[in-house]
Parts: sequence; structure tokens; C-alpha cells
Amino acid sequence: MDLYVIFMGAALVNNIILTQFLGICPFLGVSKKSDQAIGMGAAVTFVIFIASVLAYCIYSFILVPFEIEYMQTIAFILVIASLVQFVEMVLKKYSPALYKSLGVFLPLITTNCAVLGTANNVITKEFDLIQTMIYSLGISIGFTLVMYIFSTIRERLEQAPVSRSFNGNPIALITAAIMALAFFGLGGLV
Amino acid sequence: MKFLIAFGFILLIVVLFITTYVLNNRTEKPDIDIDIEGCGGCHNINCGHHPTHLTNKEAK
Amino acid sequence: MKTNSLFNIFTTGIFKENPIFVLFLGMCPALGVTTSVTNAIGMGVGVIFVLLMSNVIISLIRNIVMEEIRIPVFIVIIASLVTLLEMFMKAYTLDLYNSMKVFIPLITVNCIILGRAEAFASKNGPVKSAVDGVGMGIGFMIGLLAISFFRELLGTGAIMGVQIIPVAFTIPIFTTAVGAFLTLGVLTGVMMVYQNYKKDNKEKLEKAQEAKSEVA
Repeated sequence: MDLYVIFMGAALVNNIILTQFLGICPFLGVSKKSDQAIGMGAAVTFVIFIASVLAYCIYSFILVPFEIEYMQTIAFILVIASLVQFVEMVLKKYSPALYKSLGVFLPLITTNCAVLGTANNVITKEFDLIQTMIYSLGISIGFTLVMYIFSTIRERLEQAPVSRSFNGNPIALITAAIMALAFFGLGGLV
Repeated sequence: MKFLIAFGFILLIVVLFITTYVLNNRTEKPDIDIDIEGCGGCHNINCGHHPTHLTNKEAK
Repeated sequence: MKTNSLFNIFTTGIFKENPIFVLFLGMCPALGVTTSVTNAIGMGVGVIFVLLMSNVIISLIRNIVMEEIRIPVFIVIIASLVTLLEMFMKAYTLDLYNSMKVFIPLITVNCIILGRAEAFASKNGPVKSAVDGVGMGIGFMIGLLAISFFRELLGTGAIMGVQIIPVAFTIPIFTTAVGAFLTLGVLTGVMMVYQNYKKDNKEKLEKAQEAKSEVA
């Protein structure tokens, strides 16, 4: 039951984009076409999952025993960045097809609040390893879901008669506000 | 003592990051069509298709 | 001439290339930290500090660092500066630190800082980079203040403790996520209106001058 609460909370109730405000840059930047949104979501899922597990391991096995918790920010960002560079390199060499669909988004995820934010959250909420994995999966599925929904709305928005100044990002943000309002209603799930 | 370990650990992961970054940069991009126009995040400095990275490669 | 150019660099960060409303960088804190004006000021000052220091340091070492490993070095420098800022805030401004605890480490991945380091500081001298850093930081803070001003005023009626609108007339949704997106969207739209107005005026002026020169 506890895992269910964590998963649902991460995916819907405390959605990373609409409630925690992390990952807004790709949300606005990569959400104009739905297949791009799925690609981005897949890349984010992969990175967040591994990054959270790594963050947990580094915190529990290196930072805490040696009492250097203040190094958390530096350690996390460097490890996440190395992970992403490594994965991109592997994709480039061994799977051009996969690189085409999600490899392009990988560097964008390095300096993405969502990954670092999730890693920090896992530490603040003091999850153990299994809870970390469920939490990160929930966060990334929530991210993908919202990105996909938003991209489909945006595709329709392209053809709608929006006034010149509000076209593009402003109307997208106002749409996001309405989506956030809708997601309020999911609070009763947990 | 603890400070030394902290310093050593940070040095280790900095070296790790620089190594992976350089190796990644030197790996060739596969020859495929990527829709640059549609790539919304490509103005971000970290995106592999950002003009800065391209000119570096061409200079080589 | 030099003062003119420095002043230009300074104001570019505030108006023409405002990080929030024009470049759309640094959105995450823009939505998360703007529930109150105090938080916005705190975050703004923090970002100005990190921007200034990172621009200066990177500008000083720009000739020593190898071309290939520039970005990793920048990230290390920025991460260290943010850790310093975090420790400082935890020690001296604990209330502010507690209200924005999540977003302070996220200054590290704020696109503005890395973006300016790559676009400006790695190509210009320390003084110009410092001015650019402060200009961008102030532009960012102005953006944060604009958003938080509206959110706090309409959401709670009070700004920094001074009750301006009675509590009965407030719209509490502005303190939530919905209000954040809404305020940012509307403010960006207004900024675009202003920019389009200026662009249209400029085009009208150019056309009028062309017509004049043709007649003459």
C-alpha cells in the first residue's frame, strides 16, 4: 500500500511538472509534436530512474559514512552528467535508431531541474532503495503523461486563431494552468 | 582526514565527468536526419546540435 | 565609448534579452519561488551572486582551459559556487533557506548561468563579463519580482506583511501552481505585445523613410 501511495503521489498528485515546477524547460521546448514528447519522456524515464538509484547509493554509501553531505549538489550533478554522457556515447555507437528517437534529448536532460530535483527529493524524503525506484518511475511516468497530453493540445493550438502576441509560449503557459487545475482533482487518489 | 577523502572523491568524479564528456564528444554522430527545426531545445547549450559543438567539429 | 558599451551590456540583460520573458530560461524557479516577494528577492540575489562570480571566474580562466573540456569545467565551477551559496544561506538566512529549500541546489542547472558562461564570459574580459552577469541577474530578479508581486498581491492581499487588499477579496488560487502558470503566461504575453508594438513602429518608420527617399 505504501508503494502505491508513493507511485500515485509521484505520478499524479505531486506531478513533477504541474505541481513541483521541475522540468519546465523541456515542457515548453520539446512539446510541439507528440512523437517528440514520447521520445523525451522515454529518455527522461531512463535518466531519472538510473540517476535516482545512483544518487541513493552515493548518498548512503559515500556521503553519509564520510560525513561529507555538503558535497551533495556537486556530487549529484557530476554523476548525473557523466551518466548522460556515457549513455549518449553508447547510443551513438551501438544504436543509431534509438539515438535518433531519444538520444537527441539526452543532453537537455543533464541540466534539467527534473533529474536533480528528483535525486534531491529522494534524499530529503529518506526513501530506501525500493521506494526510490518506485518513486522515480512514478515521477517519470507522470512527466511523460503530462508531456504527451500537452503536446497533443499544442498540436491543436497551432491551428487555432490565437492573437499574435499570445501565440507560442504565453498561450501554452495558460493552457498549462488549466491542466494544473484539472490535476488538482486527482488529489483524492491518495 | 575526512577533508582529504572528500577532496579525493570530488576529484575522482570530476575526472570521470571530463573523461566521459571528451569520449562522447569524440564519438561520431550517426548519419541520420534529425529535424533541427522541430527540436525545441536545440538552443540550449547542452544540446548536441547546438552551433557551438558543430563549429568545433568542423574546425577539426 | 567604453562606458557606453558597458551600459549597453548591462541593459541588454534587463530588457532586450530578459532571461525570463524573452529567452525563456530559468523557468523552474520563476514558477516555484514566486509565491512571495521575499522569496523572489532571496532567489534573485542568490542568482546575481552566482552569475557574477561564475562570469568573472570563467572569464579569468578562459585562456587557460582547453577548448574541449570547457563545459565540464564550467559545471564544476557553478556547482561549487551554488554549494557555497547554500551553506551561506543555511547559516545566515535560515527562514529564507527553509522556504525555498528545493530550488537552491537547482540554481546549478539554471540555464541562464551556463548559457551566459558559454555565450559571453568565455569570450570577453572580466569587467564586461561581470557587468553582463549583474545585468542578467537583475533582469532575472525583475522578472521574478513582477511575477511574485502579482501572485502575492492577488493571492494573499499582502506584500511582505503589509496588507493591501483585504483578505476577503483575495483569489487564493494565485498562490498555487495554477496561478503560477497563469501569471507567467499573461505577463509573457504582455511583454510580447510591447515588443510587437515596438517592432511594428520600427517597421512603419523604416517604410516612411523609404517612401520619403523614393519621392525625393
